[in-house]
Amino acid sequence: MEKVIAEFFDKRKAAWLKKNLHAGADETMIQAKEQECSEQFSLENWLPNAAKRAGQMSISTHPCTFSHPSSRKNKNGYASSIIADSQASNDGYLRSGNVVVEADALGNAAALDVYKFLTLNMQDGQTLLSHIEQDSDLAQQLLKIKAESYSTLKEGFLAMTNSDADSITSSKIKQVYFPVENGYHQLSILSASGIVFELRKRIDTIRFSEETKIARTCEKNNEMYIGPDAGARDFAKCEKNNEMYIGGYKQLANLTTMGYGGTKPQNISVLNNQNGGKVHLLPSEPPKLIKRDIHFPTVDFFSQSFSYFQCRDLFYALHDLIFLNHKNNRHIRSARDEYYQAIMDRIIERMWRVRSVSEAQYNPDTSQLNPTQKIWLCMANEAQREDENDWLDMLCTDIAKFIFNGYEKLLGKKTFIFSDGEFKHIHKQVVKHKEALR
Amino acid sequence: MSYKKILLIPHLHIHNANALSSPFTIGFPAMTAWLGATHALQRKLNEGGIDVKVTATGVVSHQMNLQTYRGTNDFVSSIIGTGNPLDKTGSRSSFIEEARCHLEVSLLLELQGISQEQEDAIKAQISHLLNSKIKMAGGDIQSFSPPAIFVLEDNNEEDLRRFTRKIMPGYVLIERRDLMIEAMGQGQDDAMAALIDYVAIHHRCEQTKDGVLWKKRRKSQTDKPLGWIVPIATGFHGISELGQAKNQRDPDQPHCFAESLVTLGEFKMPHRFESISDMLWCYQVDKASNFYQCVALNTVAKDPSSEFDF
Amino acid sequence: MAKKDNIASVLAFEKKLVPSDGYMYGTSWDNKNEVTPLKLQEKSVRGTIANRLKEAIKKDPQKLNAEVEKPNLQTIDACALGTEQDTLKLHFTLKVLGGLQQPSACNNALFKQSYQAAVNGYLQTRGMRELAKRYALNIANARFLWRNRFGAENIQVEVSALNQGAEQSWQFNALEFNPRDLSASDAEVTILAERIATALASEDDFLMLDITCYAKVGKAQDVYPSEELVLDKGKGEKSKILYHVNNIAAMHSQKIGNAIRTIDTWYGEFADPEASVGPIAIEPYGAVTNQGKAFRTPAEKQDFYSFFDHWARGGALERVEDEHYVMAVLVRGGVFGESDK
Repeated sequence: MEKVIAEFFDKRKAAWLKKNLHAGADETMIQAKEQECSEQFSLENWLPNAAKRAGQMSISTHPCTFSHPSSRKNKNGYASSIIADSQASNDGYLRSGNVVVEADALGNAAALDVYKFLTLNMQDGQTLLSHIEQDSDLAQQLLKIKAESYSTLKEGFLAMTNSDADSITSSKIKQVYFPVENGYHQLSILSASGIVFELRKRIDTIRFSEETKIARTCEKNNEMYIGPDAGARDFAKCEKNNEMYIGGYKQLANLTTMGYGGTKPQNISVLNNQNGGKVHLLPSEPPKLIKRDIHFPTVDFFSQSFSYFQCRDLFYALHDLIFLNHKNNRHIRSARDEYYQAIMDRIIERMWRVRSVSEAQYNPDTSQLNPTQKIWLCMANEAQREDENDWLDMLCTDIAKFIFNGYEKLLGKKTFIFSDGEFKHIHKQVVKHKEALR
Repeated sequence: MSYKKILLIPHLHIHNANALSSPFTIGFPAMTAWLGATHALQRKLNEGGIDVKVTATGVVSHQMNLQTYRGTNDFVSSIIGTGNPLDKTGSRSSFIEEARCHLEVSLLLELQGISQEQEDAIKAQISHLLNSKIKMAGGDIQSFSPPAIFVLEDNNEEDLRRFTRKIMPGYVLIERRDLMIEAMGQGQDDAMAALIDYVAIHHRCEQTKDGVLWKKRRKSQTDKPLGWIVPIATGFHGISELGQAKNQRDPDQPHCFAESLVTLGEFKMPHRFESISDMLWCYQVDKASNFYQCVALNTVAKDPSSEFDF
Repeated sequence: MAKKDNIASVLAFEKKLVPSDGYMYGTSWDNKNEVTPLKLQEKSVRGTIANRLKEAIKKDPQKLNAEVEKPNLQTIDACALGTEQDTLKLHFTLKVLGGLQQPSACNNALFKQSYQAAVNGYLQTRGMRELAKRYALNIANARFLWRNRFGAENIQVEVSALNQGAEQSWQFNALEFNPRDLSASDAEVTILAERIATALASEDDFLMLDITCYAKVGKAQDVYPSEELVLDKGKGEKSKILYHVNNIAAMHSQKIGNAIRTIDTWYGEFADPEASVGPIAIEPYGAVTNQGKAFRTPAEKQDFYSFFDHWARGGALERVEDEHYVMAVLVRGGVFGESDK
């Protein structure tokens, strides 16, 4: 017998005895109970019983209960338990087939032990269930008992993967029309719950693993962290070139937790129950243009509303780019321009935020803003912004200076001193998108 | 010279839109919701006797308020519910939590098959439909600015600037499936690892001459800074045979079960575009893979193997 | 009545009254031009023990003292007018839609036919006047203020129709209307109701109403935005979380919608002075959230489904009030497919 199967039964037996043996039982009683136990969990007895119960649960990769807790049963029977057979492919999609996950199951929790039995992984990596499906030697040997024929047992167990011949959806499952060549296809949308809980597992590992804890402590103490870190993978290049050892960890922000099934997660699915009915969702939010606590500058945008520090990551990355590549080829050139543009984008974002509070906060009597910035930032000056150009030319020069000086200021003595030529080049980049400053 | 006729619906305010864009993501409604909305508009216009085709759609985000809550000491947010109706016994019925958001977006519709004379009728009809019938991304439309039609000549920078000014400040959502494909193609990442790598903030340390230096950074691509990258839901993946099912909403259409397709997208500022086409999405069905997807218009134009598009 | 061939397993209706969130501002009754958005404030409150104590604790005087003296510290959101403000301004819009004849989803053609005949019958014989009058009264009486209505010294409701070319405006003194009395008649309310009725009865028209309400509640008084229902709340210490949009205190659109459709005076217990809770919101089972009770149960055949299944297939209802109720549930909207039951 495979080790995992033996372990499976040992665990059941131990649990059964714990439940049925009272403290203070005498020797004969213990023996009797032990006898009863090993009979109950002998293959002769347990297999036929389990095979009968298997049909009370349905294995599914996409349980309908994630769409609505009571979407399973309806007038026409049970909604189909889909077992998707999706193939992997590098199509850039997170979907079933592109992540290896466990299959889920739904139905009567009293048959959970049968589900666990059938989904045990054998030494060859396949589940017991697929061994039975393929009538492998292992399956035939295991299911060879006196009380019942192999084929009856097989039929019983496979009931867990069989759904009705009819395809049945539910009005409680979201059904959408999708336009196709000559009309529409109607799609009943289900959730790949295996992926949902694999995602939760990976997120929890990132958040709570021992490695992450150690790395965080190192960061707090400004020490080097050396470990089998996940964050370093995308910087593998550095390691390969033996340029610098880099370690680190990942952080996920803005996660949302959502519950399925409320106080009864077992009503949704097996995996849902194992996870306490809680899943994590990744944020998919656009940048925010309206932010609290925006102040309209009274003297100078480039010191009060925006500082080099707000582009710190970009300046540093720019520095790395130049520092790590002592070359000046076209690739580096264009990457560098991308950084200049990215800095400019942040200035434009900040411009919109500042403009949005201009009406409430701009005070013409006390403002010491220079004329250029007044035209640029006050909503009231929109017409002037449209019609005139001198202010825009001056602003472009100011922004180019900001970028030029920002690099030197922020990186301090580490910097490669930019040349006049570089200033001209930065200016050219700024001018390219000057219309976005209007 | 070729031209594009774009109808712009500026500053749509949508209340309680569906923010659960897939079982893995929360936030901006799925791309299928936006293409669904413009497709519904086309159908209604056609029913009203205007024979127009909406061949591509773009969406610009101006503002989003996700209805979640995070306490001061919490690391994760939770969903703010709406309170389900009571059932016949007066108790709350069981339900799946609904994630909602309030949004301000502008929609771009590429129109084909209409003359200049029909433009006013279309604008009036669309205003009426938005006021009286159409919901969007599951939410209620509360207000919008008057629709306008722009004609943009290909590669005409002046035309493009004139147009993009109308959608600023805002962010155009585009497809970045290329990033996923690249990451997955390197062999060690499955789709989930690739996705998480782009969402995560990477803290890393280096040993420098001056000591240890810890930095925080998003994943970058071949040395270039990446924009605002997020996971987005862009379509569906058929996971059962096409056929008839009991309890279908509409028994006259072929049915199949399907799951969400999730990939990466980017919210990009309008001035960074060089062509209006780069802002647009269209439907595409990939029969071989059972994909019912919304894809970047340009990937369809470039890809002759696509079965059809519209 | 229900045969297999006229059952719609998928059946849904969009709501026809679409309110926005209500934004809250502070102002003064005598100078309504000076307005500031109201913000939420976080407050720490020290409560006292008021809940029923366990028997064991009650019997042990020492434990009892300790328990009662334990500070019950809580953080809550609160919202109040400024010290110089005596009036709450609430602003929202209400869109009224037509198209009752068209379910947003229906998968049975026969059912749809008989349903449409029933709706058209109602529209021709009754029109939407009775329902519209009640909705209009709930605008005029400022029921949508909910708790903010209590104790207000003065309430003024300004309504304008925004539809291009058909602008119109009204002004009501809300305290002249008794919110328990939905049979009141008033000339201005009738005109507003007429506009609402026309939109509801139309095939695809709409009415856009802009509603501003001023309630004089007194200087620096507390006001009450909607409370948020946070699911799976973390261990965060805040026990009351209020609603805001972009930092302006607000009332949920569904809360305003609930007030406007509080027009059901046709349920059995309404006339019973002991059991009546006054007009209740239109709901399929007449459920009232804060009572935790459903006033229309299938057992008594007074619920929406009992009426609707019969009526939508051409059957007549006993009372005209039952027809009003059914139509009002359709205005509310919802998913009513038969396999859902």
